[in-house]
Amino acid sequence: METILIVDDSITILDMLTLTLQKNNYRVISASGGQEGLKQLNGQKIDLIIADLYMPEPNGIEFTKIIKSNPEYKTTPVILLTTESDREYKMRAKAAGAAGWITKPFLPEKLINAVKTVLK
Amino acid sequence: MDQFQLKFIDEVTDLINALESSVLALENRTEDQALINEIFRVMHSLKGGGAMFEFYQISEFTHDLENIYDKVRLGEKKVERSLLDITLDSVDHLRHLLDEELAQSPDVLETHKTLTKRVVAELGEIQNTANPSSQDNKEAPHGLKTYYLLFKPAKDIFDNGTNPLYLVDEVCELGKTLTFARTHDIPKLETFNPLLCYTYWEIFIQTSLDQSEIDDIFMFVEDQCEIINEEIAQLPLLLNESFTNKVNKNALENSIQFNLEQLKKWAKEAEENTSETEIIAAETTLVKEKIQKFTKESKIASIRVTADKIDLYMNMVSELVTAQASLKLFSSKLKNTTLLEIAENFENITTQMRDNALGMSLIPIENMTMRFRRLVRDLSQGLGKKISFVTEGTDTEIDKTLVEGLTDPLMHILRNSIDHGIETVEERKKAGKSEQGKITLRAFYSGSNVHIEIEDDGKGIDAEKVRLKAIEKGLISPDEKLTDKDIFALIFRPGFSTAEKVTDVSGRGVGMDVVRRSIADLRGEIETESKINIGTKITIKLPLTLSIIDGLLVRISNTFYIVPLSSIARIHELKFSELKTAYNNIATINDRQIPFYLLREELEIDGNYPEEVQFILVKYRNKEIGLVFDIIEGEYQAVLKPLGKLYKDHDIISGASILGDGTMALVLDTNKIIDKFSAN
Repeated sequence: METILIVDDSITILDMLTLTLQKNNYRVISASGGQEGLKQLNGQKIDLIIADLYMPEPNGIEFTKIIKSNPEYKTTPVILLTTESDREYKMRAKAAGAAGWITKPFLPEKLINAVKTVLK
Repeated sequence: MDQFQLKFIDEVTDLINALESSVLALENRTEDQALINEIFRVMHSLKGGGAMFEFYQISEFTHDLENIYDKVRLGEKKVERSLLDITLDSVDHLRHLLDEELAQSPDVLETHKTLTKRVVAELGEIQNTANPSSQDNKEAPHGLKTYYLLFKPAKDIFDNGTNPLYLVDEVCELGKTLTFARTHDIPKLETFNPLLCYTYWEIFIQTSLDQSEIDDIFMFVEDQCEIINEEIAQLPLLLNESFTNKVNKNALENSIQFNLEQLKKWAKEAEENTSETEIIAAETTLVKEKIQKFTKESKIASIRVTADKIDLYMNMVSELVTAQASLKLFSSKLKNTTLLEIAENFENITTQMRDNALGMSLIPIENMTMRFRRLVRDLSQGLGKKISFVTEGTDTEIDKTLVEGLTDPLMHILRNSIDHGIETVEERKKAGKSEQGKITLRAFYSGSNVHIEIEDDGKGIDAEKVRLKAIEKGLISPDEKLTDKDIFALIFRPGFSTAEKVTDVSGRGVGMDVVRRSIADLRGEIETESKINIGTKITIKLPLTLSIIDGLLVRISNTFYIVPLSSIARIHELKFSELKTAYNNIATINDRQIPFYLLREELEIDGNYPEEVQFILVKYRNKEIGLVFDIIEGEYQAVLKPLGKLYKDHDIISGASILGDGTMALVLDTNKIIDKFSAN
């Protein structure tokens, strides 16, 4: 079973993501902010990270940079959750090493499709 | 409203409160960057979450506010009185928007309009005064353009679970599209491999969106696909008949990809003869479509029906299921094909109706657990404890009325676990446990019951302490002999509390008896198991008295039994002589050792098993045992009826059901049987 770390400061979104992913047979670890997310890494095997672009320090881009500079996790793909007006940030996210982004609002199927694709 | 929307309301209420206090603080510290960032972030969460959970008014409204604070954040606007006023008014307005009914009231709609105008005016002011070079045109409306897109997925795209059609659908949502699915690469049947994707798509898109929005859709698959994304005209070409005719004709006649140069040429020709009116017409359609989409979304999605009506309906459906069963039985006896056909059709409809009726009044436990997660989070932080909250089987559905009555008792039990059960970080370290405590909420069906367990890995309950306390309170006499189970049951007696210190979290000893009473009101039972230093498990058993289950109808001699289908793993037909000689009631089937139960003996039914017996393998929490019956009659939808007080101690039987011909069948509680068996 693949493990996905989800990081978002909204509990509702965390719950929704958890449920959607669990229903599709993924193991989910959740964190309500960048700091907590980094703590969760802690040597665990993580196959994919889904993080909000706009969460309190560090934000999604900084968070991605930290992940990508960690030798243990640098190959773990990161998907960011954004809203449509974050175009400029999206570009910076890609530059920081994010595999891509999903724009809110999204349907669960879209999320799963993206997750499956990234997890090859 | 779904569970996430309810949850979102909770979350947003907190966000709005935080927003309010930040804005008030900003009034005195207008330069405070941290406050400004916080306000921006809240706006952003409101916008994103609002769109995600279908609070469109909130999302739309905060969009412009967010833009204002984005400017403030970047130093392009100063915090002034007018902005603070608008923001505070918006805070009040946002609260109104959270209330489904209030949000549609004329007053609130009016405020929405005027406030939106004020916000836009405030934003407009910024855009006029700000340095034009710093403006990004992300909000600027583009005219309609036409793009050509080739999407040729790699043949093995299915391997990683990507559904290319889903991506095509997504493209089609961008605007008006003309799509050609190219199937000429599909080989003859002899060489066809169903695991490969042979189809590719060519799509003409007429949209006001940026070209990169199309690219975004293919972001995750771009290295496994051939993608061409070209702007072919800065005009809406899909309404231009001469262009679409050419495209359609070409697609019909040639089974090859479009030639991009050719397309551009046609586009150019079309561009020259497209009049202004056509463009306007295209834009009007776009606006109309948007309005239509919006009105579709705001149509009434649900109606309220009183619980009485649902109850009556449920009763009638369950009678209908019984009547249908007798129809099925008699039609199969009469062997009249027309009648059989009708009966079959009737069965299909009844099944659907039954599922539908059940679904109406049942809601998943999940709805409650959202609130609990919040409780655990808040309380554990308040108490300086580290606790993870895990839920299992939250898709277990129970009656809505049960949910209402269950929430408070469960909250109380959880509070107790957090406050008294789970130790502080230091205590846990000392006891050699991990720093983080764990509370598990588990829900599952057991026969005609729903079980809800709350288990913690905390310090457990000291039975001796409870006993002494009960003696002190005069609840029991000192020489009374009690099992641990009996002792733990004392906790639920009125006026009992073991907490040495009264905290404001789990109350003042008026707790557990109220919990027991609430559960008893729901005709449920509550049980406690606890081991010192290992943890406590509280189990609530709730009956589903008038429930219908899918079962397998089986028989031993002339007695009918129903085994819930959901618990059956496999069925084997075996020789009874093999079982009779099996050592220790363990049968070897396909090289696996499986314990079994000869129900005829357990249930004291006269007679002997036939030579060919049915060995039904039932499963419960990683344990499997075989149950041995004479014969399997077939699948059966059982309307469960309670057995009444006299059968209360027969715990392996959870209810009864009346068969089509009026005979009674007993419903077996396979989980209990497994528990009982593994206990021996």
